[in-house]
Amino acid sequence: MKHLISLIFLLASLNAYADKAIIANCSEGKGCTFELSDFDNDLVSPGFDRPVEPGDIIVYGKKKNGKEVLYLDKKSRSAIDKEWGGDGFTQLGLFNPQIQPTDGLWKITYGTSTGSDCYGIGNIGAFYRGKITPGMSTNGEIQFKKPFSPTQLFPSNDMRWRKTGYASYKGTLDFGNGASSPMKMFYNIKIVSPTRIETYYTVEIKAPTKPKCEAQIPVTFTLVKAKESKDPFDEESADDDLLPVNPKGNKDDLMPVNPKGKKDDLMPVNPKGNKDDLMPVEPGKGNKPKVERIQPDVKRIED
Amino acid sequence: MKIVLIPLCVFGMLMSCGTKEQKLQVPNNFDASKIIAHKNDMQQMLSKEKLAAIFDIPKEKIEEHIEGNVNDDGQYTVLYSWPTGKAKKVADGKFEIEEYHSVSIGFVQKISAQDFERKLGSNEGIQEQVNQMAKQENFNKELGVLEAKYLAAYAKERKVEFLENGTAKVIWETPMNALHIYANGVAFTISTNLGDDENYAKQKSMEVSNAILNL
Repeated sequence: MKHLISLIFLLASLNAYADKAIIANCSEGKGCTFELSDFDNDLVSPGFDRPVEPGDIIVYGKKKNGKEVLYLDKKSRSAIDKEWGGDGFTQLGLFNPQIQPTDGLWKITYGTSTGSDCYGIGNIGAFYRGKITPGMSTNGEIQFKKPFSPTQLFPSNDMRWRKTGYASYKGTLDFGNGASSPMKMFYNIKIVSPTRIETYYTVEIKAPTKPKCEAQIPVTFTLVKAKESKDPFDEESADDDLLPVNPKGNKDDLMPVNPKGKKDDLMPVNPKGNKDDLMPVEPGKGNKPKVERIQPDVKRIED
Repeated sequence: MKIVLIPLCVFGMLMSCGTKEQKLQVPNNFDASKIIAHKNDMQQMLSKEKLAAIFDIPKEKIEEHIEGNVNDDGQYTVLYSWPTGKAKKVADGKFEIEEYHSVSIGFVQKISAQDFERKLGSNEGIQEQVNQMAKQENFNKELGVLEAKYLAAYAKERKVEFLENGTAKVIWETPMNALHIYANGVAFTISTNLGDDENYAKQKSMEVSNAILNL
């Protein structure tokens, strides 16, 4: 035990971490899977009736009748798993999704953008409507990371991700500093099924003394043809992901961030990341949490 | 006196039936390779019909879930769960969900009797697990720290009981309520979620193990 404790201190001393939220994805009768989210506890507090405290686990539960529940719990992972019908054996992973989208050919369709009047630009929704034709679609091969990570749909180091519900994620790109930020972009993702992902961008612009204006642009991903795979467990190429939105784009594509920025663009801030920085895992390596794979016999004695 | 003794005897007999301890029954011709061959599809080793009989529930109520989505060596488990018909409050009573009981079977591995006792019968296995975690090629430090803390906390409350058995080795682990079985060079684990009665969980785990060993 002494060794164990000293190793923990050693590991802890390697880096100072903010408290990251642990998320339990639970289904009635199936127990839970647990993941270490990609966001700090303080970012998730607005979603609950009290602040997230140290030791809290954020539980996203889905009942048999389809109803979803969301709450904070200080019980152990094992206890939460058993409450939902699991055997109490748990492991912690990174972004462990309830629904894994299928690899293959996907169609990306833009919906009708909506928005309010925005100073200097006019109606921000109309601005986007001028750029995007509702129903416009493009196709692209997508090989999803396993487990699915929302970062793949908007690969930017500056985007802060959090889970908002069962198979739902929200990314925040802040072009300023929190509440006083002049501009923010949110990207909401809901994995409806392995063959359909519904998303929408929300852009908020705020100037002192003026009301906030915002625009919303829905984007739907639909699987056209699943990729045939000889080995369903082959993950060696999982990082060879193709972005659902063509990175090179054309004038009409809805590119959430224009790295070079034009005078009239709504995205004046250049995200710091470069193309290679955007991969949350090492290319060529499986991105499943390695911790899960060690010592099967030993894992049994984990609570 | 007779009138008093007879009911007492009957009561005593009934009680002894209720608490009759299950023993692991390893058949003489037990072939470990059969379990090894099914380590990634343990549902082949235990039918829902058998489970239904062991737990006295309708077969149709039993759901089968493969835990994890990978066939990593030795990591495979199959979870069988069934609704108890009761409701359970979660989130300090804010929400109500259906109560399920469950049993999982898995973690099949080839192992020596000595290693089985060392790894599962003490906390040495947990230490090894943490050590290996740190050696991972793509070790995620943040995740590792949290897992190590979690394992250290569990190691403090973990208790193991070596159950007497002839040729096989059996370890009962609490508070997980898991039964680790070793026979003829193969080990596997039955984990249970059967309510608060630890003895019931232990006995039922033994029955499930026997169903697998005597397939």
